[in-house]
Amino acid sequence: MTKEWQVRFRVNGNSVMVSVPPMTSLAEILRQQLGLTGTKIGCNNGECGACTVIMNGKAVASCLVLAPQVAGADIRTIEGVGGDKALHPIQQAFLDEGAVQCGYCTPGMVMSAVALLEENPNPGEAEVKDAISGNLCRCTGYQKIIRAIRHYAAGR
Amino acid sequence: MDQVYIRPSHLDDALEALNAYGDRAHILAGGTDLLVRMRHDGIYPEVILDLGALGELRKISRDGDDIHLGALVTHRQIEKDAMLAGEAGMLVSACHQVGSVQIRNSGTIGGNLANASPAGDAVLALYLLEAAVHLQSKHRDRWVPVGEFITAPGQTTRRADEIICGVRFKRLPPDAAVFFEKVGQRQAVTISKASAGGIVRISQGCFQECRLALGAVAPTIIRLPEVEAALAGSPVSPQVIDRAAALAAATCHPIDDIRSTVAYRRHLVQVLVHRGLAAMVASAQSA
Ligand SMILES: Cc1cc2nc3c(=O)[nH]c(=O)nc-3n(C[C@H](O)[C@H](O)[C@H](O)COP(=O)(O)OP(=O)(O)OC[C@H]3O[C@@H](n4cnc5c(N)ncnc54)[C@H](O)[C@@H]3O)c2cc1C
Ligand code: FES
Ligand code: FES
Repeated sequence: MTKEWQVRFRVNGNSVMVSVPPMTSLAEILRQQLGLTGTKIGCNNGECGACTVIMNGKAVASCLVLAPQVAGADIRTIEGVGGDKALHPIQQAFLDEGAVQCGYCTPGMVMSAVALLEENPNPGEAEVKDAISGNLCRCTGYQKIIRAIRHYAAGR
Repeated sequence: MDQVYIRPSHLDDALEALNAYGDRAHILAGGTDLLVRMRHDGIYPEVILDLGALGELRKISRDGDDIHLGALVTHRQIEKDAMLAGEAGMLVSACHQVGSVQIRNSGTIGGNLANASPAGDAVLALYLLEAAVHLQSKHRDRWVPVGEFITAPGQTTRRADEIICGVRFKRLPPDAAVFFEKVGQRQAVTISKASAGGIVRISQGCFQECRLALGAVAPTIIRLPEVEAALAGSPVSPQVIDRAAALAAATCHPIDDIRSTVAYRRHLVQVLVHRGLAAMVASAQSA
């Protein structure tokens, strides 16, 4: 029986241990317990992709991961991709293409892009579209985002 | 209320726990259905039985022409499997069209079966493959044809002490042509208004075996026995395909709901079956 769930896992290379109320999602742990607010909660329903993180190498919706499922897992969030001083080149590509407006979708988009590029360093247009099909953007539109990912892949 | 969370590493321990807790336990696989329902329907499971550590249920295996998918095999695993495209192509297409990459990385075949949605994509392919579902409890072990396993929206014949361990089906013969297509509001992350899939074999200008299934137009996924029978032995011609599509639309019983109307769904059935048959004929003839 547990009043709180104790969960140990790795975030961006660091081992962490949290104690959370039952039914807490990974997205809530990241934002509320660990202060990693780059991961956004949009729909809290698996539909918008704003909460996308990389769990054991795969892009997942962190709003649909229950806290104890993360025990022992390796999680990467947008904070582990680049920093203020040194953007990850895929982030730079988003800037160069003007693929960011309000920015709410951007962390999720970047995580989906990173997961894609690690699996497939040279994706075609259809593969890029498939990879971000679970990420909604309400302001930029998708063309610039697709272009940013493709330019980054082509330029490496 | 305190909540019990269990994550066994062996199937025997999971079966033991389920035997003890019965329907007080909620099974958790990928969580893509369960977490949504917990939030929206206010379900607060007393016991969560997380199957996530049962590596033995995560495998795709083969024995001669038999293919076995463990219950925890994800849509993404199926989509990326090098051999399944040739063995059961419409299963691969169906899984590829589930949700988004994020949903496919988490969502499992066992969850898709247990969810028993009339719009379930992977399940539609399993109807076409005439797959058998493997159910195991502490005391029993049984195989149930998928069409008997699912009885109504969200309803299955799974007993409270049983875990879905996997599904088994025969690989399709190399000359089988297949299709799967769904129509929804948005291409990704959407519940279908209607979906359709099929398998045909053509020889000497005639349809031989023909299987067709529809999703989201009845309380469960349905096969189309009248249309399948009408096609078997018929010559391959545009008229035969027209008539089959019309018969499919006439014999199905779609519903009105927030996603669509009866008339539109009936129209979709006609279009999807027509398109599917035409595509399968083209692919069989070019092979
Ligand atoms: C945004 C979004 C989009 C989606 N799009 C689609 C789509 O396009 N097509 C589609 O078909 N589905 C779709 N789904 C539904 C869902 O992703 C699938 O049905 C998925 O296969 C469920 O698997 P899971 O492992 O995540 O199930 P879970 O959520 O873990 O479980 C679902 C149910 O099955 C039970 N269960 C799970 N595994 C077992 C088992 N081995 N034995 C007994 N019971 C079990 C659970 O108790 C629960 O009741 C979507 C869901 C979301 C959130
Ligand atoms: S917040 Fe998780 S997908 Fe929208
Ligand atoms: S930049 Fe605003 S939602 Fe994408």
